Amino acid sequence: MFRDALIIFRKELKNVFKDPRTIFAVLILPMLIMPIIFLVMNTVSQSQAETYESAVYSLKVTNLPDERFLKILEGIISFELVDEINEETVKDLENSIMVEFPPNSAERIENGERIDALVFYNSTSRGSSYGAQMVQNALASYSSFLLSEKLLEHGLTIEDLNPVSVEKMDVAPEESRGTEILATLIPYFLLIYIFAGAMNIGLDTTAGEKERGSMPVLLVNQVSRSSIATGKILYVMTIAILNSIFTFIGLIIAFKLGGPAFGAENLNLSSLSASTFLGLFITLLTMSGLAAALIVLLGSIARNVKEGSGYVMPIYIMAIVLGIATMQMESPDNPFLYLIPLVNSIFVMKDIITVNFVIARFLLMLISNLAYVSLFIYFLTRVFNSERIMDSSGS
Amino acid sequence: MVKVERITKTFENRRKKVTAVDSLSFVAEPGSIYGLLGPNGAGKTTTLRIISTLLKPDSGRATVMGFDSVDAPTEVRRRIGFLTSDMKLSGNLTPRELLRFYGELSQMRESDISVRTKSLSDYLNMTDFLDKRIGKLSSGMKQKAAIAVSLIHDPEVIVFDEPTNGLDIITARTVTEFLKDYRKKGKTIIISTHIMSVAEKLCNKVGIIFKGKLVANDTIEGLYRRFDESSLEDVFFKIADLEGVTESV
Repeated sequence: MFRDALIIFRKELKNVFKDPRTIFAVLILPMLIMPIIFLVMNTVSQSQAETYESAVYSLKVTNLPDERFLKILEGIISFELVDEINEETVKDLENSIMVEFPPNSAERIENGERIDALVFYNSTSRGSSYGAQMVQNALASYSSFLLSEKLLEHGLTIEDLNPVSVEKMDVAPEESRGTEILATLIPYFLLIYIFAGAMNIGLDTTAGEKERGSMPVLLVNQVSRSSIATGKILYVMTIAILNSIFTFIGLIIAFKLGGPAFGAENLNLSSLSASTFLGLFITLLTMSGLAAALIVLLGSIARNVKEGSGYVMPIYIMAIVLGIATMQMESPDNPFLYLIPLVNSIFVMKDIITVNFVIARFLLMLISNLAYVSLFIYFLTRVFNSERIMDSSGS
Repeated sequence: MVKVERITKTFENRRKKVTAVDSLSFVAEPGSIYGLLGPNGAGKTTTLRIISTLLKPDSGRATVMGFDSVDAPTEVRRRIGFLTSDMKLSGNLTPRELLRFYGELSQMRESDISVRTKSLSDYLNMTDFLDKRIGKLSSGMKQKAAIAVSLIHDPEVIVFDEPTNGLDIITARTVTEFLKDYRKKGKTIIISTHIMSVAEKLCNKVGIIFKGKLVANDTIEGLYRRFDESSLEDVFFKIADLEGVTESV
């Protein structure tokens, strides 16, 4: 029986990999897409930052208490002082900010009073927002400077105001540090790309075959229906795995290229050891088997590809929602959660990436996923043995 | 030989129950072509699918070379070549690769597949495009490839649903010549068609179906004599009149 399944598997794989477009879509594109996205976002954000840093801001200051504030600000951004800006026009002028000190601010500071400085900016303009943030930084520095002066009069320094110094010590194992972002992003992308990879191929080999009228010729062959079902699942599973593996490679390249984007500079890519890859691969195998079996089952029930897409799309959307919902979650201790398909794989992948591998959770995921795949294969064989498999919109 | 004995098949959906085939019986002999004639929706395809094990009859039985289509489907499948004009071969494999695939599924030896591929390719004039991708072939070439696929395991019985439907004149000629030739080789052939000229040219015996019921089952000459007509089309409409189904034809 398995021999026949392998014949079908080989034929389908050969058919798909003789098409350069499919090779590009399944292998090359997933590997390129994330690096390209990261690279573009990084380049854009860097170039924007450079633009804002080198821009000359129009600044209006009312009731300036002290020229030293402007000296501090000069060290942070370039600006020219203008008079024509007011609260109304600050939103219409590019890179413009207005700082309003209260009247007699110099005297009030001299008398030891606290003053309020208002910074007017346009939050919908990136330039104005950046300038306002820099003005705020300059005001904080100016405030610290004034405080230091006062403390000095009493023979004190700012450090004297902080009798307790705080320093955090990370006791996480060396190899686990810097893996949080990996554990957030990798399971999500692998899950999405497994479904994305399996969806089109899975529907084409089932509902698509019905549409093309080639299903009866296969069914009239002496090969058993369960072999046909297994062969098709193996094929879809392989494409799904390849798709997600190349997405994974693309993600790693993206993290390497990404630099400061998404906090990627704090990543600990060295945590991805051989054992991590092995654990992730086994998890991927079961997860892709599950996705492939489910999609092939739904595609076999559908009368055509359009109907099949209608069945599969809600599952795909559910996978995206699950991926997003669990992104920021840590792996819970509740063992029942490791029996829920897809959720279990996401949490186990998080465990593996953060080097917090728990064998019991891994086994629960493995056994439950294999049970689900077996169940889907059972139902799929029943569909293939029933007349429903002949039910196409073309007949 | 193929024997169909009082088969009935009903399809049910939420709205209604339709009897596609109603107590239908006929026999197709080796070395002959049996044609099932009828308008669209008469039950021809359903009958062929029951013979080919794709559908199960609600009652009655169909046997192929003595094997029951329900009790021994694998034995039946081993002995039949099923072809439908609905089948649109596509993809990136070549006809040679497809023939190899179906040969392997039929548990043929590698050497037998090669010999059979060569003989089918010579017979159907496929040599020029045997190694070209299916997707790049003309519809006539694809049809020849589909015929070769269904014959790779050298079946004793050939079941062909609407053999010339939608084909251009040259490809249709190739198909009819192939069917005549395989009849000479002693194969049992069953076709379905709604084109009377095709049946007239090819069939030794025909069964005329209306609304799932076999209303006539005879040789072409026998039908001419019985209904005192000289063309199958006239016979067909005479029977339709008698059955009161002319408006639905």
